[in-house]
Amino acid sequence: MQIIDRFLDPYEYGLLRKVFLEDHDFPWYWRDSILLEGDDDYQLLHWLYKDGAPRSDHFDNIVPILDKLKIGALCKVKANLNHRTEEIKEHGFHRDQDWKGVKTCVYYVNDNNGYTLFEDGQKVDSKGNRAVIFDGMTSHAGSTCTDEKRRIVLNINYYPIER
Amino acid sequence: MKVIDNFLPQFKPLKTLLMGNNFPWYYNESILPPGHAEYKPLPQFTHWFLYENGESGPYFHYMIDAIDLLGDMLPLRIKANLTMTNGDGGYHIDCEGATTAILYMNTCNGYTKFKDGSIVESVENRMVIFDSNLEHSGVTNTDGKRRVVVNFNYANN
Repeated sequence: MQIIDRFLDPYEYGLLRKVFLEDHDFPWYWRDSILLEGDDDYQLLHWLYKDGAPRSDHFDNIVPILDKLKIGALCKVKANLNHRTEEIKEHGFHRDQDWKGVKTCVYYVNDNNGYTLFEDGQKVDSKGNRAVIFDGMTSHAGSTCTDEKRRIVLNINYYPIER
Repeated sequence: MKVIDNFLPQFKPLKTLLMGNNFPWYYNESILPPGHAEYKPLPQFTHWFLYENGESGPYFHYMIDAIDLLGDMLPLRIKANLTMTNGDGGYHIDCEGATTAILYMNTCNGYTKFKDGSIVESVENRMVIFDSNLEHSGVTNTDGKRRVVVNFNYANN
């Protein structure tokens, strides 16, 4: 697992923050569950890339991140928004992909006390402009936060150039 | 104040749209603007069907049935609100000298409360219609994941 702080330069990060945190024209789509249909969780999400093509007018805004990841083939990219909860709620462990060689990058858009938890007990805190990169078959779980109104992360699955 | 249950004869298409996975919601930092006497830092998601400048949104046509049923009127603004366990949004009026109507999209234990103490519970396909000068506040639910309403402001012809 690789954790990279200050992943984007300050200018690029500022632009990204504006899109995801400040602009009022960024659409979010309700999901009534996170892992399994009927579970107790919910979130809002926005697909940026899926099924081999960009799925959002805002795709260009994430290109600086993709450039830094040295991507050979992109699988999917989505933004997740989790609403503040009274107590931190961990979502269930899951793997984003079952395909060998796929990497997962979680990019944290804002600072908050939510985190990504791994099955071996490691915890990566949500720190704005931090990226954590790990094998796509690694089980992990996201969480809500209690100290900010929302927790926003980008979830990127890709094949790296060097495989 | 008038409360009408089973307001829309064809409610399901609108419910499917607003409660579904493909309807765009836009984040707002607060329900009431900073500076409002009842301002609280409680976020909500909104979707404008009809903006205050008269411009209609891409889903405006879903509002036609409700507009027709509200009678001979001129819609001033129509928006949907989505809240998730925030609390009490704070008393406010939407606009002056008009009529406000709230259509509840899902049944939950959230409600609309008025300064005179009256409460209208969130019941799916219920419409409450009242003078826009009446201060009211939306109270979010605790029994489910979200509360969704559509808020109409209109002038009576």
